[in-house]
Amino acid sequence: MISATSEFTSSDLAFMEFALEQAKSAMSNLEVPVGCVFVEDGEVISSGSNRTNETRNATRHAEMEAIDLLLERWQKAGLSLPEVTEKFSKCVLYVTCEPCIMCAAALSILGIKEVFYGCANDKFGGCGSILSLHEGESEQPSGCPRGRFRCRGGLMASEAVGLLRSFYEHGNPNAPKPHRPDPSLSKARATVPRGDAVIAKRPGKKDLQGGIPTPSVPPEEAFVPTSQLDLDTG
Amino acid sequence: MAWEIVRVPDKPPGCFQGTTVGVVASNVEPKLANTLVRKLCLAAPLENLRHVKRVRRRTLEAGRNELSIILCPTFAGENELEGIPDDVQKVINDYQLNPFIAKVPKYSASSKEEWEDQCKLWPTSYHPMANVEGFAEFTPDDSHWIISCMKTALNLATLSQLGKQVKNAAVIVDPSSRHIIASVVDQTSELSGTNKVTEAASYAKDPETISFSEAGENELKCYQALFHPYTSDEASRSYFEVSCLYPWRWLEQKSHTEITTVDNGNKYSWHPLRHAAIVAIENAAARDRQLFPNPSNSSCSGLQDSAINSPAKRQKNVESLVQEEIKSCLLEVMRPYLCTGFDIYLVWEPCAMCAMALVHQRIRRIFYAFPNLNAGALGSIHKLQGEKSLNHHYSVYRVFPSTEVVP
Ligand SMILES: [Zn+2]
Ligand SMILES: [Zn+2]
Repeated sequence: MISATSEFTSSDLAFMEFALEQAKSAMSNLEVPVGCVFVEDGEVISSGSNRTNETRNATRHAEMEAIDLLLERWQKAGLSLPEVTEKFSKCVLYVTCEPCIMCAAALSILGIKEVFYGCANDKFGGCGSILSLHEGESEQPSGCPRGRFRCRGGLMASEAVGLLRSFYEHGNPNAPKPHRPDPSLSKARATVPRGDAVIAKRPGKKDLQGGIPTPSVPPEEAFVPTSQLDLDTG
Repeated sequence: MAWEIVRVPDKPPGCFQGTTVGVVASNVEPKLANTLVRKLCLAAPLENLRHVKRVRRRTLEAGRNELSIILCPTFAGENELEGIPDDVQKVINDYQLNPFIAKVPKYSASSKEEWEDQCKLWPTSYHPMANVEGFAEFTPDDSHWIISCMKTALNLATLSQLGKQVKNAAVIVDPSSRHIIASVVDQTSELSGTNKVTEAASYAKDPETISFSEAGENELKCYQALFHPYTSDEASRSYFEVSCLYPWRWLEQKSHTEITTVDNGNKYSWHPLRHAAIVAIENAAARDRQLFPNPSNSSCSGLQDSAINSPAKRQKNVESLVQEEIKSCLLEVMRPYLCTGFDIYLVWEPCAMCAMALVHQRIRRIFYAFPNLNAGALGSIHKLQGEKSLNHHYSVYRVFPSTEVVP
C-alpha cells in the first residue's frame, strides 16, 4: 500500500503544517481543533480556525473565518466583483478536516480551484463522505457545471485526527449543555432504556453520540477515518 | 382556500413497512441491565437506529421475564456475528453473554398501528408529530401561529421586492414564547437597500405584531407578485437575487463592478455567502451573546456520576434516572444552546449550505413556502433531513399559501 503522503509535494505538506498550526491555536482557545489556510500563487493569503464556541454560532468553521477575511480585505482594497471571482478561482484551500456539507457548498459557490484536506469527515463531509458538493452544480444543460473543484484528502490525516482525538478525550469545557429541553425531545428521552441519551448529556463532553473512540483504525484505510469523532465543526 | 402546512418527508414514502435490520443482541440477567446499557451505549451507540430501544422485556410463560439487550449493530452483514468491536467483545466476555442476531425495525414507525406492529418484534419509540406524512397535525392555534410566522417572512420578501429584486427572507422564532429571534433578508448583494428592511424587522418584537388582522386582498396580491412561477425570462430574472435559488450566479455578475469603499459600518458591501438563513443564524447568535454575556458553567446534574457514586441510585432503573435528569434540566433557567427549540421560516427552500448551517445551529423545525428546484437541499435536489449520519435532525414543513397566492 502506498503511503497517502507520498502523492503530495513538499509545499503541500508545508501548507498543511500551517493549517495544523491554526487548528492547534483553536484548541488552545478551547475550540474544536480544525484549521485552514488559503493559498494563491504559492502564497498563504488567509487562514482561519474554528470559533463556534466563542461566537455561539455553530457555522463559524475555519473555512468561513478565512473566507470572510478575504472578502473583507479584497473589498477594502477596492477590488471589483469580477476581480474577486477571478481571485477565488485561483485559490487552493488546505484544511485539516474534510469540509462539512455547509463549507463544501460555500467553497463551490465561491468557485475555488482546489481543496486539500487531512482526515475525512464521515458524518458531515461534503466532499465525498456524505454529499459530493465538490462536483458543483447539478445537471447543467449548458455543459460545464459551475462550482466544481478538485479535492484530495489524506494529507497529514493522522496529525489532524490526533488533534481531534486529544481534544475530545480531554473533554470540551465549553461543551453545550441542554438548557432548554425540547418538549418533544424530553418525551423521547423519557422513553429510554436506551441510555445513550443519558450519556450524551453528561457535562463536559460534546455530543458524545459517537462515544470516545478507542482508536481502532482499520489498517487498510489510507488515512485515518474519523467516523467515531463527532466532527460537528469540521 | 385555506393555507396548508404539509410535512416534507425525510424518506421515500412507504419504504419502511415491515423493513427490518439485523443487530447483535443477547439475553441478560435483569440485574445487569443498567450496567450493560451504560457500557454499551459508550462502546456501540445505535446511531442509525435512534427509534429502537436498547432493551426488550418479554413475559414468558409462568410469569418469567426475559430481558434482551442490543449489543451493537451488525458489521459484517445482516446475519453475521463477525466484526463485533473489541469493546463490545470485552463486555460479552466479561459477562459471559451469548450473542445472537435479532431483527429490529429499520425505520421509525409512521403510524400508531405500525408502531404496535413493530413493538411485537422489538420495542421502538413513536412520536406521532415527528412521523406524520402528508398533513401535519397541528392544533388550530399552532397552525394559525405558523401561518402568521410565514406571512412575516413573506412580507419581508415583499418589502425587499420594492427595491426591484426579490430576495429570500428568514425568520427565526421561539415557539415556546412566540418571540421573533431574528428576521432578515438575503445580504448577498449591496446592503444599502436592505438595511432598512432588516432594521425595521429586527430583534425581539412584541408577539402581537405577528398577528395579521388586516390581511385581505392587498396582501395576497403582494404575495402573488412575488411568486410568479418561472414563466418568462423576464420573470425569472427577478428571482436572480434569491441567493439560495441561484447560489452560483454571482460568479457571472458583471454589474456593479465599481464597489465604493465600505464606510457604512458593514464589513462587506456584498458577500456571496450571506444568504438569509446564514445571516439569521448570525443574528440569533449575536442576540444570545448579548442576552447571556457569561458563558454558562453549571448544568444538569451529572447523571453518570450520581449513578456510579450513589449505591441507592444504582438500584434505580435507567428510566427514572432519565426522568430525574430532565427534571433537573427544567429547573435550571438557562440560556438556550444555539437555536435548540427554535423554528425558522424561509420563503424559499434553502440550498445545501444554508440547510447544513441550520443543522449545525440545531434548529428544531424548518418551514418554507416555495421549493427550490435549482439547488434546494430539503427535498428538491438533496434531502438533508433524511441524512442519517448527521448529529441533528430537524423536521421540515412546507407552508402552502392559499390558492389565491399560488395558482
Ligand atoms: Zn464546515
Ligand atoms: Zn442558501
